[in-house]
Amino acid sequence: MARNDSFEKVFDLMLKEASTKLLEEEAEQLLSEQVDEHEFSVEHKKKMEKLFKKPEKTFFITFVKRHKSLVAVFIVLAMLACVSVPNTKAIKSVFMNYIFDKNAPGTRIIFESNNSAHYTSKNVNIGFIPEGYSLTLEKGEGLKKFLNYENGEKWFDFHIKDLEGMLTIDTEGAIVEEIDINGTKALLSIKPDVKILVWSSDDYALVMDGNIDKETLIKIAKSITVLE
Amino acid sequence: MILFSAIETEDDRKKSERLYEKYKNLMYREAYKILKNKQEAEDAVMTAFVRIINNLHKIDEKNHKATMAFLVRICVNVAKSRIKNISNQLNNEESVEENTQNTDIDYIPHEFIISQETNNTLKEIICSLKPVYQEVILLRYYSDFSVLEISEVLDEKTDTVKKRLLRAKKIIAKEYEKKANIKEKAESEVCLNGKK
Repeated sequence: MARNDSFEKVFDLMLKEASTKLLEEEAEQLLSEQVDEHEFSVEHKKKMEKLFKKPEKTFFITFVKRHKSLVAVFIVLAMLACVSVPNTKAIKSVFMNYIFDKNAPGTRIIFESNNSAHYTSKNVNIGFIPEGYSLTLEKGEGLKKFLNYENGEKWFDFHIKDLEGMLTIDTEGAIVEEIDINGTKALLSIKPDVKILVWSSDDYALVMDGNIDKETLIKIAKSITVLE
Repeated sequence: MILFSAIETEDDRKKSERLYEKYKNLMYREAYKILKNKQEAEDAVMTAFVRIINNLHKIDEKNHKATMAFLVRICVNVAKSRIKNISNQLNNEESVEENTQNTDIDYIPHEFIISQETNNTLKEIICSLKPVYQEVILLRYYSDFSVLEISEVLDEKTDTVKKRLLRAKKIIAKEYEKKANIKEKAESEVCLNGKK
């Protein structure tokens, strides 16, 4: 077995070398053809700016452990969208210390926590799955879990995420409501084609989205339990 | 759309922008070849960056050529996913994979020689693999992505990625042995002819 292990390691190293060589040769081919400068659309540029935006403490929501009496601070996203859509004044709704810019394609939420249990494994149980829905995609584990359920054209996703990093949600033109999920404040962003629900616990954030009706989405959310 | 992204440091932000500025036109060109639509191709470039942004630290900028080809591949993968739902096409393939029991260590060749020639042979074999297998091999071995990270980049289940990786390695091992046997046979024939 030991021989096989080392044999496999060497083989893996050779695959790494061969993969690198293959990519280098591909690059030569790619460059053999002229690369024209493409004028990317304004919309694309804005999206990329938002994607690459570095969080700054004063501009982002910070989630901290509630029992340490720390407060969530908020972020506003770029006002670029407001500039590009002069006829629509930016309307911001403030809920739970969040500010959603209705003209911005996405709102980012930065999570921060002093909790040391970020990478502990969690078992998620969704107690209520509406009739006709089945699990079609399951990815990740622990605090990086993603589940997708579908029933024909209808679908909903569930994500659990540690409180590190950030979450960008599409709130452009959305109606945002504050609701209660088993005693925890949650944000519900409603757009014609998708609803997004975000809430958090001491060491993880929970996100649901889907095109199912609001009541069902909330019912599912309330049925979710996260076990150590 | 919900994006989980993790640009948390100035270094990460600069790196993302650098990669984007350097390769956006090339990525766009390749995406456009597939999608034939300006906006779709631009979206493919963005989605490619969304998919890699959590693993920026694994992107080695030192090897400029390999990095370029790697990013273009991710973009092409996004573009291809956009024009067709490849999952249906893969279902049959993966049901075959599920039945492939890993009863033996047949995902590494029984023997191989560490040489430039072997390296070239492996490169040719990887090149001849179906795109779905090529992608996982390159992500795993060029970029050292974990199964979970590959699943995020390709937007596939971790189980699917695991199966594809194993299947790809089996194919490579099998093909390598086939080529090695052919070569060995040819050499022994030359040797015999020489003796005659």
